[in-house]
Amino acid sequence: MNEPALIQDAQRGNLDAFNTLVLHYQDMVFNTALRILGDSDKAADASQEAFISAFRAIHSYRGGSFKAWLLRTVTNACYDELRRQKRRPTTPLEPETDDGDEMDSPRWLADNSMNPEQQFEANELEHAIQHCLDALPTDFRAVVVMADIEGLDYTEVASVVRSPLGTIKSRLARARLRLRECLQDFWELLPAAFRLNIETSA
Amino acid sequence: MNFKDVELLSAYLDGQTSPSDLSRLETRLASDPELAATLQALRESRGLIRQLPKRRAPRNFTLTYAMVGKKPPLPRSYPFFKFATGFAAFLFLFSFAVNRTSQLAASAPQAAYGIGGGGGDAAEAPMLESVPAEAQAPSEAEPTMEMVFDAATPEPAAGGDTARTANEPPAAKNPEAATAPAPFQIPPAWMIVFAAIALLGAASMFIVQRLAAQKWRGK
Repeated sequence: MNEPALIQDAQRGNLDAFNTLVLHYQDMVFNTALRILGDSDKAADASQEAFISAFRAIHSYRGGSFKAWLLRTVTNACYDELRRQKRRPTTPLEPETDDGDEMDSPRWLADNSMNPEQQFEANELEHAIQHCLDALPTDFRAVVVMADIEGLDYTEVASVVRSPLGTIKSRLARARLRLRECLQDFWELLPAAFRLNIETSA
Repeated sequence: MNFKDVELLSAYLDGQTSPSDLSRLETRLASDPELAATLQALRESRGLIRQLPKRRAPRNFTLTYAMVGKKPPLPRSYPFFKFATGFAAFLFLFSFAVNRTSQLAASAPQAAYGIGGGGGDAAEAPMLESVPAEAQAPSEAEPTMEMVFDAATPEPAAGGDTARTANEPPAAKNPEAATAPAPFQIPPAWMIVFAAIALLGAASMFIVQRLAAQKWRGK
């Protein structure tokens, strides 16, 4: 794929050229939206909105990492969606205690009918991590998703979220600490093999 | 250990520390178990986040022209249709207005006489209507307003002719009005042609737009 040529064609209004870029980046864009929003349907809507906005604004792209530029668009679409959610809050899925308070601990995700090894199969773990991600402030979450999931370097993350490099470093450190605290509840249940896998891959 | 250290450790994990910070941090890590444990905790957090599976898009997000709000490309002849339709519609309305104005101008004197015949006052109308037909015939005792008007002009006939002249339109009695040129009228055939062009043009524009949109949606 000749990305610069496709971008130039798209800037001249060629929708077919832009759609080639869409097909190339749509998984990355959807995955980013999914991790920021934590909901598949909303992530799909935000991804579509992001591509529409990207096409309308592609004349403003002045070189550099197209991936980072696209991620900025999808991050903005996610922020818009989160603002909409704040205006129209929905009923949380978390169970309530006997007193009617929402359970803070992610332990509710664990199924007591299964043994510890089964409880933390990949799907459960994904839910747990997503739960902890959702508990982060939006700005922290976006930084973690860009740096740790999409693998952008600090400069690219700074350009995506339009914040200084120092802010990115600080947010990332705080977010990792908070995630660590949140995941503590699951940590003791992690299979030993999985722990080893993490330690060696890191 | 303060938050600055945590920040340094996080950057160290990503290889984003400056060379001076790097050597200092590595020395401290070798001697400070708490710092090393925090680094391990951060590493584990990052490792878990990286374990998240990459989800594929549930559908294609390719765009259509309609989604990006672009109008369908119209044929080159479209502006001609647009101009012709607009111009024909203007001509039709203009000719209609001209003819109507002419008609009103022509009927204005008649209307004026009509009001005069009724006494010039709407309040008197019921009283005049209640007068029998015979009584409306002019007599010397009760002259009508038309007779008053007629008095100002040369009397073409006297006595019994008054009744006949009272029923005639004023123009017939006024030599100047009789010889006035007929009001300007645009032939109705032209108006029909203008209207037909405007309607045909509008229909053509509608069809062209629909065809272009259909072709576009199929893309």
